[in-house]
Amino acid sequence: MPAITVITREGEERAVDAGAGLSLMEAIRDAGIDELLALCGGCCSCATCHVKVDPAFLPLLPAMSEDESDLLDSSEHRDATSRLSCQISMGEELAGLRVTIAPED
Amino acid sequence: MTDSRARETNGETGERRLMTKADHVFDPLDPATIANPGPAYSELAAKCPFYHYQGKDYQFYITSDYKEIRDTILSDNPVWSFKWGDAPMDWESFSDFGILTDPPFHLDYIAALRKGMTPSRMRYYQPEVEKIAEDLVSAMEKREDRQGNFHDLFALPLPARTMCFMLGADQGLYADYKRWADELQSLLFNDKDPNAEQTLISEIQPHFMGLIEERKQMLRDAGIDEPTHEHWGTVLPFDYISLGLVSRVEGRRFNDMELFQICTAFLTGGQETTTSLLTNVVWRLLEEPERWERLKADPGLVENAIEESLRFDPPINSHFRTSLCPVTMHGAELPERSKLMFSMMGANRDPAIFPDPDSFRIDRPLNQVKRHLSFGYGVHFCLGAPIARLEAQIGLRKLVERLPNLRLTGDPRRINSWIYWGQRELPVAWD
Repeated sequence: MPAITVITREGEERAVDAGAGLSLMEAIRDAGIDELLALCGGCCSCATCHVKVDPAFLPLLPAMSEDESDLLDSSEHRDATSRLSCQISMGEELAGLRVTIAPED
Repeated sequence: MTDSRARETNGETGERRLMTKADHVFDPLDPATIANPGPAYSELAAKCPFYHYQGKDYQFYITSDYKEIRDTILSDNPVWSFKWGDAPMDWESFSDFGILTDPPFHLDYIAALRKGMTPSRMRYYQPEVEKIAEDLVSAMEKREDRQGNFHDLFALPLPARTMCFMLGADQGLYADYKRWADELQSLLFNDKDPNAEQTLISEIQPHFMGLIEERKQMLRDAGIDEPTHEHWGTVLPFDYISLGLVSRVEGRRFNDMELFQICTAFLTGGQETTTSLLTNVVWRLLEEPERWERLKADPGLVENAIEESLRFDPPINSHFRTSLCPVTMHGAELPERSKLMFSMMGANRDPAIFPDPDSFRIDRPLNQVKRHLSFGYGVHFCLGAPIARLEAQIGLRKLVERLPNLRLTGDPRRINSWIYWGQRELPVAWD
């Protein structure tokens, strides 16, 4: 299981074991970090699982779909490192990933 | 509802019995529960979060457990299936198209339709919703008697006209749209109303088939055989029927009956619920005038007030699912095809999730109050949630700005349903 680091809105660093096959959103939610609302449960419909990804890992992530980009546009906090965590599937290549939960819109 | 009142009601049907350990009697059809559902469902959630209801007309299980609903029932498809309908009894056959389906088909279907509900689409709808709200509030201002039924004057026409706009129909038809939606609702609930069937065949179907055909003609006129998303908003208007025409599901195009079903799903899903949201939030704000004053002083709380209304007074208090295999819940063995009602109204009052849950407070932080389950959760999360929120926020902001002295002049009367929760009469006055 890839070990990742999740930085909460308060700046607390949490070590999370992300089960293979889970999405990053599910891994964060299963770790009990419930400030990530993820209301639509991973259907790329709501933009409430917005995270900022350590730039070093951006090239390893799947390409962003038009829908994901459109949803992220609704956030005032979007920047070049923004992704919806429900759209990132966890695999061993992402071991060591660091993500920060984006501020609330 | 108090226990003693429930026992009185149930006393007439002595064969009813509980299969749970809790000493609590609950009847969703009890007139006292229907009249004031919030406290009754809150009490059920607190005393008996899993309940076996065995009524005269219906028998089903009820869960009010927030985490069970979110993490098991709504995350565990297709054990808890939607394809047998959203009612306490099965349809004659299961649904294989549309909203009431299970993954994987449902995910593909939603993927096609959500393109009309993205943030950029909301920016497209916003000026029209603003204009409708402005028209309605202006008409209220012009009334000489300075009073009326908020439901009829504002809460009904705002979503109904928005629906016409989204589907690409003349907004003058809004009263028909609302009437049609009401009749379709009874069919959806598996209530075999012959009038509703007749309206479906004689009015609703010809209307929407006409709109579909108009758009097909636009494509033919432009010489387009294989429409794509590039033609949506260019050759075709930016409406939902046109989105259906350019979309694919499971690699194929929607046929005419499927396009018609998309229209009826919108009709039933997007009107009464938003109307109820508007009546519920205005009622709660005016019921305690200091809430209304606080919102006037700080209109930044409009979104918090809308979300609190959704939590406290969900326009749909519960949905149903059907088990596709035997399931064990809370020590009870539920056979295949059991009906499970999940109570969003009860779950939304879980004190572990929402502090002081039985109080209506417009100052709850958004990240806390938006945990409510009123739009569902997971793969069936309400497709129309963004437009419902947009309409409610625009509508409430307009009312606060333009009718600052809005006030209640009598008691509300609720809509006639035990599943849906909203007010059909909300007498108000303004200066």
